[in-house]
Amino acid sequence: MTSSTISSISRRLRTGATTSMEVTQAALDAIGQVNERLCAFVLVDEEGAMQAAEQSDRALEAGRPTGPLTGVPIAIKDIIDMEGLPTGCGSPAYPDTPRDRDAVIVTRLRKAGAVMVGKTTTHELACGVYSPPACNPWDTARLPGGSSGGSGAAVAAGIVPMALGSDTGGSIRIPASVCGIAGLKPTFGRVPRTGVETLAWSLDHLGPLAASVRDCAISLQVMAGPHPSDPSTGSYPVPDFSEKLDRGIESLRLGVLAGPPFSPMQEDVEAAFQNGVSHLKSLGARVTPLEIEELNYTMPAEFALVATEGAAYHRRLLKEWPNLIDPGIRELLTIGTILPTGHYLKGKAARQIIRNALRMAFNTHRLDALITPTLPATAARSDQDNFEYGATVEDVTSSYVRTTAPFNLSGQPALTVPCGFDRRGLPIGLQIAGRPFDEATVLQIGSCFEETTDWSEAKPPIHTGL
Amino acid sequence: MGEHTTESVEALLRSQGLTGPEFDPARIAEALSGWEEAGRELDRLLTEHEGEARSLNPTVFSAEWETGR
Repeated sequence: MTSSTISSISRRLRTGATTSMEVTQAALDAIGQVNERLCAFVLVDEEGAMQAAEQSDRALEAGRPTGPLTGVPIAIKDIIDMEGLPTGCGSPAYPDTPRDRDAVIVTRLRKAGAVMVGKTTTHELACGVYSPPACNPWDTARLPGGSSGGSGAAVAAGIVPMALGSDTGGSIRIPASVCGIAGLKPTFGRVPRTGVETLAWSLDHLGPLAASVRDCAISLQVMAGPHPSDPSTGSYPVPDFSEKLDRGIESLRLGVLAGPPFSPMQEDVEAAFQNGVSHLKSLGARVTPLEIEELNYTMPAEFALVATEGAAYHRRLLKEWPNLIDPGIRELLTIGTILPTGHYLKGKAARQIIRNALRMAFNTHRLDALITPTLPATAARSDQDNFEYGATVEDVTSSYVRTTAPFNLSGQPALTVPCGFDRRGLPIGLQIAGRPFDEATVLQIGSCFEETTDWSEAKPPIHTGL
Repeated sequence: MGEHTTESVEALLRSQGLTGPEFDPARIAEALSGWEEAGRELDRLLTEHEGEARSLNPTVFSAEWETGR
């Protein structure tokens, strides 16, 4: 039941085929069934969820659903505040004290009628791609990606149709890709971040990991829009993100990025990506191969910002409770504390050059979107440190981040959709990045791809099958 | 080890109040050499694009990019 999409659950709720209490209980039962193996949830709010479901059922019975998510169970990454519950941030240093108010994004989801069943596992401080102890439902010996790994696993396992994530260098798209689901990082400034733990304030984004691209559109509709508490949200108008989902992609102009930082990649990823591009062409898209040399500098620019902004935000944690921080993250924050200011400023300047290069590519080639492999590799084993690409050895984190972080630096919207499987049966993702605030076109392309392929239909071995 | 010695890192850490067994100056000094290389990479990019970075505001998108198709 909950393995269905938001759209199908909503339809069944509104026709009376089921109730929110039934759907929510099914989600809670699913957590009970699989969470011991997946560790996707760190906290389950059974009482709060059933109360919200009961309210939803009353609204539905009265013919007055409160919004597009009325009665639908969802999950929240555990760096996002929910009133009455602690925010653990994957860290032993965070107190168990309940937060006294909802994050803005949670308030919006509640108003839209969503039923929140619990909080999902995050990599510590949202700073990593492994998200232990969470596992990948396709192979529990493998990581679910990160830092929103619990959200990826929860959706892929069919527990909920949508879970919230955050994305500083790929933390929505990485777990979505390795778990075989859709994940959208909206434009920087599209979704307010008030009430959410920070990693790097100039790179952090919030967005959905979902069972379908359409669910990403429905969810974003609820989350998006300015809020006075987060000045980055400006006053950008919010369009109808679902309006173009069924239009096809005839004549859209797509730039296909090749070369570093998108190469090297695993052979099976390359094959699936090329098949995906061919498929987009067969649907009528006009495809232009592109290389953008400046993207080679993605990693030094990204990490200059993450280390220093992260160190500034977590300065008290680092100083007072260093023993409670993972050694790798502690080293990053320590270095961020003592790096010269010039390093940060060079990172900021490099970021502008990268943004400018991407802007020029869009305008010169009159592009509607860029297409890339979401990641150069599929899910690593949870104990794996490196990938090997021929003679090249690269650590897992760098491998995953180099293809996603360009769009954190640029702030453009970027979506991942499943586009195949490797020889081990692990999912592969295709990334679609659009113009700033043009999520509608990104979702249009993703939806068309999803609807005309069957990659999103496959279910992992651990699936609640409700 | 690059520009940083164990002693210079120890002084930097102390100046930030980062003391104790969790902060190993020798290890941090070694790690910093990688960051120095990253800094040189950024220098190369900035040199290739001299002047360009000044003209862009990191918090604002241009209307041209948002709508310029």
